Amino acid sequence: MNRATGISHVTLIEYLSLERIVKRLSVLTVPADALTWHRFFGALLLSLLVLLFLSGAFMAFYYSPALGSAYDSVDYALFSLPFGGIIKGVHHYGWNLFLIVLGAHLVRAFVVSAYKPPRQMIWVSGVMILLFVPLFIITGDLLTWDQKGFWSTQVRLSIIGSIPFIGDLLVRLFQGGPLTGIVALTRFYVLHILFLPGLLAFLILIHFHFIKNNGLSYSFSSDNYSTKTVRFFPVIFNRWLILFMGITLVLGLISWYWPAPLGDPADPTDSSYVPRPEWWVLFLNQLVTIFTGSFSVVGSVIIPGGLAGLLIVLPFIDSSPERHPVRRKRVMLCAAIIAIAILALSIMGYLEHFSTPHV
Amino acid sequence: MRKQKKFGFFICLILIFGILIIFYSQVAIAAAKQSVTATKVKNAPAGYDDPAWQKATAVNVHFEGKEIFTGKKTSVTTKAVYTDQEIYFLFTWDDATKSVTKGAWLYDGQNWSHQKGNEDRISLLFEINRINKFATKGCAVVCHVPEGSANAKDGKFGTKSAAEKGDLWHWKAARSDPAGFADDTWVTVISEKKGGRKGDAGKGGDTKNMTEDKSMPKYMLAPGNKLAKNDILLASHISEIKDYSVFKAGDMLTYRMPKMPEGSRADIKAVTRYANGSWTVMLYRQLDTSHDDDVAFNPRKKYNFAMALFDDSGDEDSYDSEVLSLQFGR
Amino acid sequence: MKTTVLGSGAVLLLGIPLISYFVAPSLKKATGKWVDFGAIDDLTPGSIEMLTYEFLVKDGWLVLPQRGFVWAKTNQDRAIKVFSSTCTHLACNVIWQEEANHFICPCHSGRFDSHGNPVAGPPTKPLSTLESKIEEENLLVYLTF
Repeated sequence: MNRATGISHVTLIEYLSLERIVKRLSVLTVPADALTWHRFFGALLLSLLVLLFLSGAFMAFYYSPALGSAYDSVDYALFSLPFGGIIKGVHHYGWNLFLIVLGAHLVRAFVVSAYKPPRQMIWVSGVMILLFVPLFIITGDLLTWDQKGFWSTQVRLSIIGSIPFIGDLLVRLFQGGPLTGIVALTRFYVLHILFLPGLLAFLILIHFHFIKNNGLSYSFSSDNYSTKTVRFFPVIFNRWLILFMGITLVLGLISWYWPAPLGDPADPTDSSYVPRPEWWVLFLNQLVTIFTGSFSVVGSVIIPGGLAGLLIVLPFIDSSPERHPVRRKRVMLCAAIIAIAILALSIMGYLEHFSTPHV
Repeated sequence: MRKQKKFGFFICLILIFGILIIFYSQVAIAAAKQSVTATKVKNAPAGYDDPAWQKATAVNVHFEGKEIFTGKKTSVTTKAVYTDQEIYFLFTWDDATKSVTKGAWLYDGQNWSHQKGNEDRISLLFEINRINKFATKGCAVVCHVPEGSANAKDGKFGTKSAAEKGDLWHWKAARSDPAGFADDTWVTVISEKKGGRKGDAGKGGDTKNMTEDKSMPKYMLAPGNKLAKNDILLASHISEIKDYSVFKAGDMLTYRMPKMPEGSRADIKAVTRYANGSWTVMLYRQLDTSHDDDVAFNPRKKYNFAMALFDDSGDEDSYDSEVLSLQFGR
Repeated sequence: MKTTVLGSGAVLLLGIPLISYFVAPSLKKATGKWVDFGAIDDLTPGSIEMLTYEFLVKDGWLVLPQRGFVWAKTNQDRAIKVFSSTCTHLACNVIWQEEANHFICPCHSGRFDSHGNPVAGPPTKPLSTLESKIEEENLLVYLTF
């Protein structure tokens, strides 16, 4: 009851027609097991998304997607505004961390067999999100219009362009023409800040829809532990808030100490700039370099496409009810081989691109 | 549970390690061009011998000869430090001859004539407002206009539009050094008639010491004053020559007399020495002068700049550096 | 209760940086500068003439030209008064019409006499006069932007 306004808390909620949601939230319970550390990857991803959305939305206040001004607007936002470096830094380190946590989320789901029936669709929608995220990076990297963004975009587009039959069309669709110019920049911008976030929100909604209907994955802990329940609101919600504040602080401090990089303005006439692949794409890049000539399709399309397909259909290939990792030797072995291959390719790529002295 | 916690700790370690790798990879990317890092010091260096300079990392900047120096190479050892208020540069380069003549008058007993000889100079160019492609092409986008164009003599320096502005620091051994400064100038759009070089607001530069028919000097050292460094006559220390009979054969007089700069033109101070066949030039300025004809340095930012070196030469006869990066350490 | 504390913590943690980031450029007030409008000899005594200007201004992250015009009223004794072209009603540009001997605002038919005082239509305040001075036979006007 608020004495000053005379409106009680409850009536305000009623006034806003929120009583059903509030009631449902207040009675919602989840297994106590939901408080274990490895269950927080999802919440961490959600926190990071909120941070990415907020930092991105505010950066858009100081961005003009035109060739002569894009770079200068980013430079202005970084250095001429209070917290400019931190907000850009949170966005930058935020998506890097997002990718890492996304990977961890996937690995956990795999190890604890969270994809087994009846939760196949949770896994499939999650993998869709994973495959969708690189689009954000491809579109976002160009926006600063610095050398790195411009030339990495050239490399990525040329890889897309090497897809047989439709590659060229895809690139032109992406760019709105044959040039990486103002049409491309505007397109990338609108995709990055409007269409992709909208689609991502939709995919996440689907993911949640399946989680809501099929429940959290089972725990391996002793039975009496897993049958205990806790209230989502406020117990789990408070944990999320703490997690959110923690990650905000950590990212803020990292960005304050190591400002987000901004290279030189893009110069399409500069042939000396060699873009280096980012860490998350090193293994793909290395695949592309292994298969050359007429086999290049194998590295750029067939293997990555096959991996993506394998991830999507995993719940349907491995539908045995056995869930404990120790008793799923064959599946774990396959996964380990793929993981080691990706790691090895990444290390090879890293050595090739980063440890050779640069001029 | 204990096992799980250990595992969680392990995962956290991997995450931190991953973040470090990302950070490292970005450092590796940034190392494409020669980079001068200004070291943060508590106390401003008092001169070129100050121990503060030992903390700064020396960068051997490569220069390539243009015009009459085509095919030749040289290098300048460059250091930079900064305090909360000011930035200091220290340049050292080998030069077998100290050239400070700049056409000084020589009396042979009957006539006055200009001595042969130019001066040594070093110049730095920063961006005030973005100069298109300066970051990748450096001086090539500002210094040179096509051969034979109308402004080729006077206007070799300038940008392509009025919105693009450069900050040109121009240390001249004969025309600015004796006053204790580097000439603070700026560069803007090049026009059909004029070059894009302008002096900063205020007063400065030099004046020519000559009579109206240009045949002999007009001024000499005013009584009670002293010649400045390298026996150069400052424009502030002169009196008109009334009686030319006081001069004997072999007498010399400065032709280009440095003025004491004022206002924004006096922003860059110089402390220098020529000894043992090499120049040592320390230039310093406020990080942010709040003048709109100066680049404002923000220590969190990286800056592109380029340098040129002139060995007893004028106009385009210079050694030019590639575009360089200036960073500020913590 | 705990949720309220944590929630307000999170809001503060986000709000302080984001709001200062958003607000900062708005705190910068308009600055002014003296703009050279050329030799006063070019002005005809006893007339009101349009003088155009164009200069570069750093607008956030870009240097852009600012263009516009002012009205210079030169008396027979060569005293010069400079009027802003901005109508005091709703900021349209007023145009001097010699025949009517009025400044006319095309938007809502506001009229000002040759002293800048409102005589007809919606405007109630006189046209603002701009600070001007003469330096080395050139007319300088103080413009804010």
